Amino acid sequence: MSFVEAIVEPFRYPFMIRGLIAATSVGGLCAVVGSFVVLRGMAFMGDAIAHSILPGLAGGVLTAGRGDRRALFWWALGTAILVALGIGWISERERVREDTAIGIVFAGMFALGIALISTVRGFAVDLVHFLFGNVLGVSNADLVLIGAFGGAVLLLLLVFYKELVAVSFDPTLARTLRLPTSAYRYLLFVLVAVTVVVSLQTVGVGLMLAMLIVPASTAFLVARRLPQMMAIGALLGVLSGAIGLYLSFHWSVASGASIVLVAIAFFFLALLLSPRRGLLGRLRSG
Amino acid sequence: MTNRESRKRQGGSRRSPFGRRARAVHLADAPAVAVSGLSVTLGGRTALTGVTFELAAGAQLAVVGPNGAGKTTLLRTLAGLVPPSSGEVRVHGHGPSGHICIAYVPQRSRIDWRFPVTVHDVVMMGRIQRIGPFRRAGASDRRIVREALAAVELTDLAHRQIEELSGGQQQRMFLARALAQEADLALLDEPLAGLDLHSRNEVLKLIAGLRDRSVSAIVALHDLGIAAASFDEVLLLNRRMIGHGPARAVFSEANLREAYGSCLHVVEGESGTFVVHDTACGGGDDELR
Repeated sequence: MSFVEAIVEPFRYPFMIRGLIAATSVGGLCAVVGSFVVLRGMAFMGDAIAHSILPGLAGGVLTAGRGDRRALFWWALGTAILVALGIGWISERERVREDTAIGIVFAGMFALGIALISTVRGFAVDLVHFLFGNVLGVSNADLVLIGAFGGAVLLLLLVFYKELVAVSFDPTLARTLRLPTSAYRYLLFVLVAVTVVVSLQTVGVGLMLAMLIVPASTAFLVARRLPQMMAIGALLGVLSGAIGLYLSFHWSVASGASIVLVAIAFFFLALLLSPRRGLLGRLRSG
Repeated sequence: MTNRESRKRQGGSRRSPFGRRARAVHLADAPAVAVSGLSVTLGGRTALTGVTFELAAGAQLAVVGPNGAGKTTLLRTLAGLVPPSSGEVRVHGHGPSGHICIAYVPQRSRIDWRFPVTVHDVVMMGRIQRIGPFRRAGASDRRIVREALAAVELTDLAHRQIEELSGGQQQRMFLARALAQEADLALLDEPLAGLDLHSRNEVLKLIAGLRDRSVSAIVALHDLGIAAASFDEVLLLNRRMIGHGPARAVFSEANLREAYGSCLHVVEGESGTFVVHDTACGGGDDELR
């Protein structure tokens, strides 16, 4: 098989085209939102939101049945936003350390989800899709949801960009400028939650964190300004989605894993070669 | 300055869900800062008590005291970031939390220097509230940022990522941000910490230059000599206010011993009395424990 054939062949299958569209848009979206996750050190929180969706999905399966994908999406979205707000609320109280609070919510919700879903017959399949995603099962309606909600997230990031950057870089400045820092913090948490839900079907919960932080961290190694970091991260996210899906198609590897492995490969390449923070750059400058 | 003029200086407030209450209007004859009977409790412990002083508009005050004396707490309270547990803080006649004219410059160690922003970006952040939500920086904002960068001689480094600056340059960047914010009161937390002599002098010169812009300044410092030489007034602190006024009156042997305890050494030299204090020493903290 020639290179061109290898590139063109997946396009003979509509499910592959839909999968490619989903993987690349999710890759790009996650990297842009992930830039804030990386810079604010919110990785654990992103992971927690992803895992905490399970009881919501279980609720959807129990009430609407697993065939009703649209209902499952809304259940997941509602749960994720609630969890994001809940974590924000607990961590503001300072009763417990933030990572402890997140850990408790994370573990509690995940256990509740498993308990609920274990009452459903044939739950193992649901669980596997939840954990590892099912990018080849993406429907046209799913693509519309990804586009609509992903677009809304990006739009909000753009509208509140300068405030979100200030709140993330120097919260004290934001407070002395009397910006409503708490509102912006919650906004950011909710944007992460929506991103997680939108990306759920593509990479699954288990690898969600990777999509949020790996392309963004790679971009962090080479960028000097935040818009640059977001653009490079988005490009890497899109490339990882496309290349990963191709490798998965030709080598019959699980698609989510293959996407993440490509993203990780980019990261190590940048770690080695980045002129700003790379290992080689360090060696040269002595 | 009349109320209307000062309102104009503050810029009209734009109301929106993300731009909450109206800003405080400066009272014409009020001092820049008036603090009376201030106490602050942090985590159930008294961090600061018995602080009373006034600072005239445009004047410069150095806050000195050993580590853990509550210098940072005082500055944060003046900025409206920490509520007093008793007593009152007035900035230009109003409680501090309504003001957007207070520039707070944190210790450099509190900042994530790897954050991907340039010097220009950071200085522009000082203008966010004046630009307002849903808007981008306009030509006048860019001009003000340019002037602020020029005033601290950072124009050439405007597009550097902030980690690439020296300590002195980083401190000058924050002063530029205070200028861009059009602050009337600058609160600087240990701006000289970790700087070499040359950078120290540059930063001190810029702080002194705030007078020409009638910006009042309150600066936390370690160095008693600099506090005495470069500031109108000093405030000696060790969890409670020990003295406030001109350095010559405040830095008496009794006051200094009270503030610094065993860390203080009074040396009789040929040309007079020297007071040496060990900044690495725990200071009055030990006395209190």
